[in-house]
Amino acid sequence: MSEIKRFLLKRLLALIPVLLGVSVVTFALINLTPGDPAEIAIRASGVQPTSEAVEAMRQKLGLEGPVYRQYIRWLWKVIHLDLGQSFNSGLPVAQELLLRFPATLRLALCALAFTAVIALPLGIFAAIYPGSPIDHISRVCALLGSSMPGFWLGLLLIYALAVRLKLFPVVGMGGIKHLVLPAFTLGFGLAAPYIRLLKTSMLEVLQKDFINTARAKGLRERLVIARHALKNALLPAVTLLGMNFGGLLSGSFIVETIFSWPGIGKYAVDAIFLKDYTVIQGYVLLMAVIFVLVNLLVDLCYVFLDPRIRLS
Amino acid sequence: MNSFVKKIFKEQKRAVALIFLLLAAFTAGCSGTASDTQQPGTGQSANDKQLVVAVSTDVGVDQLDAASYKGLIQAYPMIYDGLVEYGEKGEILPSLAESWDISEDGKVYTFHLRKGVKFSDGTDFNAEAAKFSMERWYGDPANSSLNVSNALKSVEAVDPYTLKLTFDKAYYPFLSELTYPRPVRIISPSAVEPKGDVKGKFVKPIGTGAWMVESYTKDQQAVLVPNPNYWSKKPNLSKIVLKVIPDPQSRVMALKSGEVDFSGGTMGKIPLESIPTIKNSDTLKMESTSSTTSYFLVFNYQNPLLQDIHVRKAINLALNKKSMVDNLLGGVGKPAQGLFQFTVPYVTEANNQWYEYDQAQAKDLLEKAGYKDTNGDGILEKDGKPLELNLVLQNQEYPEWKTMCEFTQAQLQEIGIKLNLQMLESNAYYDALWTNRQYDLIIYRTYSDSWNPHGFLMGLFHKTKDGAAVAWSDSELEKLIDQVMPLMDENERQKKYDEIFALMYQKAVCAPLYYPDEIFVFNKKVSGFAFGTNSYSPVKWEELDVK
Repeated sequence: MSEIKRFLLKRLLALIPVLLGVSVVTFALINLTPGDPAEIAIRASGVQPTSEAVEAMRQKLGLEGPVYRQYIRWLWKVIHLDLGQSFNSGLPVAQELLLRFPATLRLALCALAFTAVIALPLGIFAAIYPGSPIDHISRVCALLGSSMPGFWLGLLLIYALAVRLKLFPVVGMGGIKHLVLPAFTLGFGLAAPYIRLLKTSMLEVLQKDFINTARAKGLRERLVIARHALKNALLPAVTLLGMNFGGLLSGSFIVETIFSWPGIGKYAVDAIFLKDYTVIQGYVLLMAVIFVLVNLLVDLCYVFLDPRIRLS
Repeated sequence: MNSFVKKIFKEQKRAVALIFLLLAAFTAGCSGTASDTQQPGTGQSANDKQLVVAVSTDVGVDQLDAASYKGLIQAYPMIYDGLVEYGEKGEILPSLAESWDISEDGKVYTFHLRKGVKFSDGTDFNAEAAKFSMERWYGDPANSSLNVSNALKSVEAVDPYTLKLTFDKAYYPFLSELTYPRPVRIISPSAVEPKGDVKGKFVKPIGTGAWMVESYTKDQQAVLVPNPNYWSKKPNLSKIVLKVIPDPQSRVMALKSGEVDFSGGTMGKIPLESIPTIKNSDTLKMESTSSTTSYFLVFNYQNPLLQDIHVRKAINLALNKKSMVDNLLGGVGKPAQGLFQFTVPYVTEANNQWYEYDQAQAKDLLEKAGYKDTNGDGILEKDGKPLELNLVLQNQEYPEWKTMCEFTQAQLQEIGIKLNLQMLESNAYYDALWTNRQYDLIIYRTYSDSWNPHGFLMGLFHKTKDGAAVAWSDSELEKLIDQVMPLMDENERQKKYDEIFALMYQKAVCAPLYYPDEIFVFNKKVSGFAFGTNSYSPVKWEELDVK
């Protein structure tokens, strides 16, 4: 078996205990929070819960018996690839999650594109030309990006660009125009740490001997920066990207709510308020898989960026 | 070692290609389908009178079964008719039943159904169809909060247009309960699979109402068009788009940009803080009317401090509710008088008495109860114990409660009561209210519409199967509530309700705070606006038109 295959197999097998652990912790946490899911499900539909109705609902949702039994029942189903039905809607959880995930994926990819477009030039040029106007701009962007809450930026963008200038629609999902404002809101906030990180690591790399060597052997400055410096400076950013991309794929409750984006983030938070166990568990499993896979991808990227790193 | 990876990434050119590939993926992500880029609310022709309405939750058309509680509550009366409808102050109006007879003992209801009515798919409406619909919900434990479900024993189609319901007890609000938005409305036998099977699986919403569903995209929008078979006045509009916008501020922005034409009520709450900008807008118009709900403070009757009627009265007297409405809520809504608004059946000027703001009298009462500020800290004490209470609230569903509770805290401070605010997450809040009574005072609301006053009084001020009353336990009050429910004579009921409201006032069983308004905001191009009779039929949709 080649090394890469062994590596992938090992990482994928490690996913099993991760998923088990995550599901146990989530199940325990949900049960520690106040509120009876059966009662909440009834109240959410605008009805006053009576003891008969709660009892009937509990049976319908499979909430009888001690918590550990409920967990085992759930796990047994999951092993048979059945994530169960949402308490609230009664529809299969897998179907509900898959219905919403593409919207979140689309938003995440575009947000990431915005992050790259903002952070890469600002971070790199701020390092190459310290003290220049672009350095100042990068500093302001990093400050704003990390200090402005998403909901505020989102509403400001809606007000200025959608309500006043009518350049974009206010809410909803549709074509590119619908995507710009929510993706920028997410991407701008995300860009802040990358601007700082790229600048610092670029500055560090530019001091290294091999850069001097590259310059000494007469390489054009552009090539020195692009081929030698940037590739090395990207390493810490890629690590962070793994975590952030996972985070983006788990959806953003705030941005999805403000822009009425039918994604997975709002769906998950609503499920938490409704104590919709099966949805929360299904969501957490999906997110755990995504995080593990994204990080696996990041590890593979390291090898490309820095040949000194070995998979083993 | 990692030859595979090396092989792929060794050459810079390939890496560049990979980056391009990634960029292509981004672009693919960014590009949507061209077909759905068209914005609603624009580009309509003369024949296409479309109204875009912002709603806060998904319409849930795929689950809008007349006998369920799923989806947007306001969509039910648009699609499904009841046998009867709810009119102003609880008047029962004919709908699919043109008239009805009630037996003398109040247990048998005979409905004479409207003839020539068809469901939106062309299926005939008749007594069999009505029977089918009723049999899908009555007696189900899920509907045990409805007396009409618990007490209904048989449904009989006497002839094609006569339906007989037999109950095991007399209960005056049966007809009110039959006006509810769900689960009592009439659905076509063809809406389930297999057709006409009472236990059949719901397939699509088919009713006799003015509207029917044309299309639906989950979490995004539902499009309603007029039902061609509708038996009453046909709508002016050719289309209503119910667009899901969960965030209140975004709803206001969408109204301002013209992307949405209409929003408000409980289906798309307008935040109070946006009202000044709406009033100043050139393109928007606002209409408000009294709702049927009110906000009030529940006293924990197990708390010894609150068992003292002087303390309860003093709290009521200390609240300058008018100032709260004028100064903190921008003049929207009204200060509460009695517990129920005047829009609620049986509430009259004469019986809706409560304690007017009188700080001096409040202080007197506390002194009479033996409270004195012995240590000069501004808080009264009795037997060495300070008069300190906690007030539980949540602001997830009702953001304005926070303002009201802070106001109450300041007002009670002035008469020497220390009030500690405890903000809970909504599930914990409901646990406190319904289950564990972990509060001294808790802010809550009355029910609304046809649940008032009977359903609310039974729910909060009457003992339940599981224990004592939720809001205030008083055997005398419970006896009066028991007496009013089977009364079939309107005048006798009014007298009994007068007694109930008088007793609640005398015993100061709660502290009414605020009467919220039902507010709607719409584009000036919309005409024919008229309020409906309740929050689940908040607007006369059929009357609306667009220029």
